[in-house]
Amino acid sequence: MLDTSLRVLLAAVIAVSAVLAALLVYLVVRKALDNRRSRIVARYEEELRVKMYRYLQEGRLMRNMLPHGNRYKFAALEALLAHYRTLLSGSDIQKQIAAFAELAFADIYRKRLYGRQWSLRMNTLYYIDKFAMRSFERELVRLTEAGRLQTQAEFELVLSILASFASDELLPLLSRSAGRISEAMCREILLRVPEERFEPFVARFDSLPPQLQYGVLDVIGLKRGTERIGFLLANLTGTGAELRIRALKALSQMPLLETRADYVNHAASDLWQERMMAAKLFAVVRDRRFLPVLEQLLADSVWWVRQQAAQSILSFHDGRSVLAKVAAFGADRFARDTAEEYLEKEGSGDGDR
Amino acid sequence: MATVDRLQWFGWLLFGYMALVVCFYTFLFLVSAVQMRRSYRLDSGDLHTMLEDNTYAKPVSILVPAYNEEKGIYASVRSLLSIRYPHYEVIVINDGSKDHTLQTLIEKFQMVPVHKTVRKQLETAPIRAIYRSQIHHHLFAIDKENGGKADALNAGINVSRYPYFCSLDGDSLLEREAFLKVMKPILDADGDVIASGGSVRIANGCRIEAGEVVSVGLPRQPLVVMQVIEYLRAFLIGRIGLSRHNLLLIVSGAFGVFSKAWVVEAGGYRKSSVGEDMELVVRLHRLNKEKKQNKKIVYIPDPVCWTEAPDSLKYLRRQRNRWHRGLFESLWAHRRLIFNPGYGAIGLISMPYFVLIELIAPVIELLAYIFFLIDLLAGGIYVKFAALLFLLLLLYGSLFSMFAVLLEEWSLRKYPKVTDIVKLFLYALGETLWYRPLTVLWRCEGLLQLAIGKRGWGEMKRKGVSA
Repeated sequence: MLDTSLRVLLAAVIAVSAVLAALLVYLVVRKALDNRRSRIVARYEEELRVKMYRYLQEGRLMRNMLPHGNRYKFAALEALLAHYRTLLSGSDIQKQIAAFAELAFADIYRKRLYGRQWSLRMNTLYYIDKFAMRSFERELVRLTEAGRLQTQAEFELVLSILASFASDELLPLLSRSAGRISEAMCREILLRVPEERFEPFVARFDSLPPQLQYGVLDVIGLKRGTERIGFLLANLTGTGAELRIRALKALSQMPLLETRADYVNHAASDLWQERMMAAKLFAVVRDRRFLPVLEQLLADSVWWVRQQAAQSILSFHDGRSVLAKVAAFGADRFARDTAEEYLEKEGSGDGDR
Repeated sequence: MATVDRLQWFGWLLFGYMALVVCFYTFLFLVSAVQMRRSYRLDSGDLHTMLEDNTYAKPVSILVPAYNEEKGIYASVRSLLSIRYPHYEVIVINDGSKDHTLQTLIEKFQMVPVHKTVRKQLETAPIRAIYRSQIHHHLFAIDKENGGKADALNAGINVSRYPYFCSLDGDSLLEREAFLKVMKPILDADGDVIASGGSVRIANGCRIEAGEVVSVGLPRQPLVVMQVIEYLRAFLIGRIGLSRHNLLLIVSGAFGVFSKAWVVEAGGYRKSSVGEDMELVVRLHRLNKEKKQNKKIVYIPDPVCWTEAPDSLKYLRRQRNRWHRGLFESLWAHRRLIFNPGYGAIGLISMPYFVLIELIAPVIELLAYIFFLIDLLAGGIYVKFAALLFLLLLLYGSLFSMFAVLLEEWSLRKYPKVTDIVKLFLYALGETLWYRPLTVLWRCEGLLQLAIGKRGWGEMKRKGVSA
């Protein structure tokens, strides 16, 4: 018995040693090759930097600027173009960047989109997005339709790209798959939609799934879209609490807003989120009729509402004296405390909000 | 003859246990390897979109508990003030330090006392005062009476304004993009992720300028290199493997983000525990199951937090036996979960894994060393057996360390030189000879101290990462 176990052990020792040795060789060779590759790519980048810059400025392609099957050069060009893409602005330059990418990278990218390696497919999508390679629009739509996109991340990225490309297919695609993507993602995608393509989302608002509706309201707020204030107001009267809260939030982000007496109703809502948003809204309209309401909200049972009320009061020109009055003579302890806290913050010049 | 028989039986028992351990680690490695290989050389994409508008970015309170950290506190707070995140506040909690931690903060950041309504959601030792910086309005300091790290964090939670908080050790440095990356799963998941942790790496040996790591290298002291290898193994093999199936029981106390509402509901950090970070995560899992929710706790390898590792045997020993006591206490407090099918995979896999493998491994290993010794003394036919078994163990230990280096090379690739790889390999080979027996002894010592009722942290001496 002992002999067998010795033999088994010995075999195991040899096997593990072999794996270890192989691992070491692999790691060392890889590191060396990796370092060599980055050196070569860096050299190409140096060589091509000026040429690329002049191409982007003058629109004239110089000799030896295309990769011609050289993968190091390909990587260097990719990196350079991406670098200039974040460095230089202006629509002419963006066009040059797209044109160069289409010329130099598109064929390879088309193959890579169907590759086996997930990270490579993702990187390819990033570059298509970054260089705004619109020739891929139809291909991307086809990818979503065939259900070829294997992962959620790819799906979301493709939708984002289609949004930037102002694709007609985005609205139906999003409507169908709203349940599949998170609210934050939905918002991010909608934020990318150019103004002229955003109208259909508003026009067909009622038929959109809730997730998408929230996104539309949020994005109007984020873009400070004053021309859609009427649309937001219309959403204040609905029965859906979430839609009301989102519409209030979007309204409170507008640079200017006319006052309306019925805003006060939201301050009496059963939902604290709605009361908080109402308080936030009062800071934008700065209608003195709402000051007493804000003072009431200072004594709200929810901390967030009290904080917002204090902050909103301070946006009135005599806000400090109102808060000082509450701090000194207020009947409610919560209200006094909150007022006092905000007076101090104001004194120290609160700059972080 | 009977003793020899018994010895042999014991030998086979040890062998069986090791086989179990090896199988589980291999499983974790495979899961991690698939995951890492998949995202091989992935561009993390543009994080800028998240920065554009802060109306919807979830604001975070960064809590930095500090006890006698006058040397490192300025640099780490400095580095926190320049991280890339749209909306956050930094709250340093001075937990009754005996040195000049608080005075340093007050002077360097021009802090003044403020009146602040504190929502006392968790019981803590009394707060003496709250300060706010006049230069950086999102920097606060709490001065409180000493109550331990857990107590300090609870006080920070009470004072914090935002729905998420991040616990961060006072002696660590965050990479500037780390915060965006660790928050990303939380932002993307509409509240389905209640905690998210990043990697912790060892800063010794790296060059640090103005609160930022500028170049990564391996430290000179062998003791610290061993810890580098240990961290690679723990984070790259262990955590990724466990996180994949929501089995993660540890989000490092040095760098993790939590949903405040969930932590408050779970009762905050437990004061009596020295392993408060693990204990909290187990409790969150428990709450999650008891509320029949399907929330997740995730680990992401990419965001990195650099920390100072102890470089002397004395402090490393204290750290290790404290960690082990913490592990025991967390498992003991939640022993009801072990093999309890009501808690799903946490009860059936995670908890037993931590008990059977992490907790009692050092005891078994100690027994194994004794076994080898007796065997050698007994002489004769078992010497070869024991020697081979030992050799196998040695090689196997190094194998997992090298697997971890492989995963590192597939993912973060922080170490730039070929010589770094060779160095890591050589050290990994030597681990079983000296480093591992030491940690085994320290961990057993921790268990022994538990048995005789020792509590508390044991003081740590810091030189400060940026010193």
